[in-house]
Amino acid sequence: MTKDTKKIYSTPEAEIVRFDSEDVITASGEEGTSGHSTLMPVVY
Amino acid sequence: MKGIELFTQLTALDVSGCTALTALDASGLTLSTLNITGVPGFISTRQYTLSDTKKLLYGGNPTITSDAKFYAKQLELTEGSLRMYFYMEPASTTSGLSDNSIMEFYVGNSSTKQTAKYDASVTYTDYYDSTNHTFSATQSSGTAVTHYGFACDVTSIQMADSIQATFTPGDSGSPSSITYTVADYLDAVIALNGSATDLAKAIKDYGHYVQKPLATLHGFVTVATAINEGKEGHITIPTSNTTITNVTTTTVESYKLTSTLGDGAEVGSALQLDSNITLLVYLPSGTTVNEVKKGDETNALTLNTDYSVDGEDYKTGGKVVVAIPNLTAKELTTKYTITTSDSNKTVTAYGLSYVHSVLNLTDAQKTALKASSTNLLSLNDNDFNDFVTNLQNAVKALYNYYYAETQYNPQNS
Repeated sequence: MTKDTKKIYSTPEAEIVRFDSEDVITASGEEGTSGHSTLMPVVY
Repeated sequence: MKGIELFTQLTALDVSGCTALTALDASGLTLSTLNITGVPGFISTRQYTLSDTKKLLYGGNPTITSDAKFYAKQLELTEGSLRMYFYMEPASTTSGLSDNSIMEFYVGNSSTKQTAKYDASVTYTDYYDSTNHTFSATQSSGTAVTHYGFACDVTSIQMADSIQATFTPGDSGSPSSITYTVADYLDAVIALNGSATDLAKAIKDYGHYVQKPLATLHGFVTVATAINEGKEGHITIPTSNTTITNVTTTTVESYKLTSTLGDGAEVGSALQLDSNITLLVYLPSGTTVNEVKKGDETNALTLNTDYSVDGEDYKTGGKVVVAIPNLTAKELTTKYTITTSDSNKTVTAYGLSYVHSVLNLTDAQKTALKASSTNLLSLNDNDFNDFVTNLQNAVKALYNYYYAETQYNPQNS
């Protein structure tokens, strides 16, 4: 997933524009919108 | 918007300090309004039906500033996000909002700013009775007042964090701010003791239980301190200590992760509990993902739109990771089938697969789990056992959140 510097969420009701460079979901679990990673530990 | 639907019944509402309680019944729908001495306000439980989405709405006493009046707050559980709507009325009700109006949000101590633009579709209208200082959804009397909504995403561990919302008019006027928390909202819904109460309790418990393992795992000093000292930023008390004990491996047995990759091909899972929920499936290095299908759908999902494949670097421990984002709690039982370059080799996973895996941890898996993180490795045996318990409580609470959302039906309210 591309790491954008600007990401736009569009819903039927609202549009939220963000300017946070960390605001992406990545498979590696980088920080989300809170600045805190919310990635639970991997369990095999 | 299909229209406004109101809960049909409101019971056990604490009206202490109120001078009047008005229950309006229109076509079997009930809206309760109340006046608190000296303060025109209202409390209502409303259900706005926007396509097939489900929303909760609580209108507290308005916060009135010189340039804006802040009214209802609404938690949206759709679009895969935990999203808080703030509704306000601008100082100039006749001209409405400028297209350039914005609401900016800061959540907790985060320096991350969210900016929501004015959206004409995110509105609702009430009718204000200036004599009785009440709002009604029906036009029997009063002046129509449009409330404008702005949305702020919050994560699973931010439910007790203050959200500072600052409205800036587009053309003239000064910024106006309020602060609010998701926990405040959930407490208000719980206090109403209506149809949404069980769901609100489950969400609040989820917020409570998920904080501890994430704080330990990722070394969140501020969150850990808040937990230990009961400070702002932590939901200190779960609404029920007993509900999570009812969730066992058997509860989620149907959703366990299955693989035909063969013996020795280690497959894992994780969840990212951000504003939305992402299911992550970890596959052996070198695995080529051919396609991912959702449920029993014929067509495969679209790569980099519906899911992504990442990994084989240090961040993923050399694994190939399939990330499926934007799951709602209700969608945690949706099946995803991952097919590799060998069509006979597949992995089937659900969001609840992770719940099953965590509740079914063997000693060997616990050892591997501890070795996977420097923060966990530093724990002594007792503290690590506490971490495992906290992790299992968190996934139990997540299951209850899922279950409560499936049971919540505003049409039966």
